Amino acid sequence: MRKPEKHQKNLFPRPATGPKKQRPGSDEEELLSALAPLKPALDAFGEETEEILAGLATPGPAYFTGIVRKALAGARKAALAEALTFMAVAIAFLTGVHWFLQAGYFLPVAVGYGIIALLLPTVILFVPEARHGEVNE
Amino acid sequence: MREKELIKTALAGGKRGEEALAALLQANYRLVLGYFLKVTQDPELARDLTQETMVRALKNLPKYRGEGKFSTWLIAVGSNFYRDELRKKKTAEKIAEKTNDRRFPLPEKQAEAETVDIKRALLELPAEKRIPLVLKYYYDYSYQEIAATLKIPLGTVRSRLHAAVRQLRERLQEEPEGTHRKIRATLEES
Repeated sequence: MRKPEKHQKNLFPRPATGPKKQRPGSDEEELLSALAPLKPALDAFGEETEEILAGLATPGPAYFTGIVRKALAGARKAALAEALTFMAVAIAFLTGVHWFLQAGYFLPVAVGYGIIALLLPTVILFVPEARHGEVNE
Repeated sequence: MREKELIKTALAGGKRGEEALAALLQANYRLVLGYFLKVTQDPELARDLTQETMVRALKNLPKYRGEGKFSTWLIAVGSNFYRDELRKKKTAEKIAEKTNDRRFPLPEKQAEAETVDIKRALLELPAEKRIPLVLKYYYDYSYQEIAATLKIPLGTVRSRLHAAVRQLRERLQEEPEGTHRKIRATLEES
């Protein structure tokens, strides 16, 4: 297969992580020159996969509509379950606090709230979450 | 309808949104399938992965803001899905089994014979090296794009790509009496 054709490049443009930064030229060039001897084999493999791809049929619109409906219905169910769980936990928590206050445990409740108020922002700040651009899931 | 309009309609939701999403998926189906075909070398597995990628993308749709190309986002979702699946031991074994047992049929034509060694060599690369190599070579992704797609540091992309090329070259040089005389000769010259 010919190395990335123009039309193929356009199908996979840059992700929305901002404009393409200056290439670390020497390194990428070094990689490409290391790849050069493999080019005929890699291109042949690419061509073969394109031939196989050409032989595979694309399902009809009904298939994609089915996937969309099924996935969105699943997502809606999951969102509803999450919302209900959140409400149940919140009600249980507030009921517990109410019960403790009624029973005269003001100080432990105040201390508990204080700890949460102190720790929660720290926990949120240090959650290892990928904060990349658009291409992330 | 152009992709941007389709994305806008899809993100708006509703019945028309569903139709737009279906149209987007259909338009990008072959791209994702072709990508997985290169990564797995197994048409059936590629088809399964493509379908799962689409389902996963739909579930994560709220995270897509419509700024990047939909196909790029699908490739990112698919790559991370494939990687996650490989991480799970059982699934990894299953996929490995599939990729080992159901490679392309052995070549009958000369054109296919020429790719036997490279296919084997590519399959022997771990996915963490194979995926960046496919993105780099066949889709011309930059290091930054690969890093963003796979959520890995730039230095890791660089080292994995170089390691992949090194491993491929070594593997192809090792081939005793394979079908790659020309390549071996080029490798020896370089």
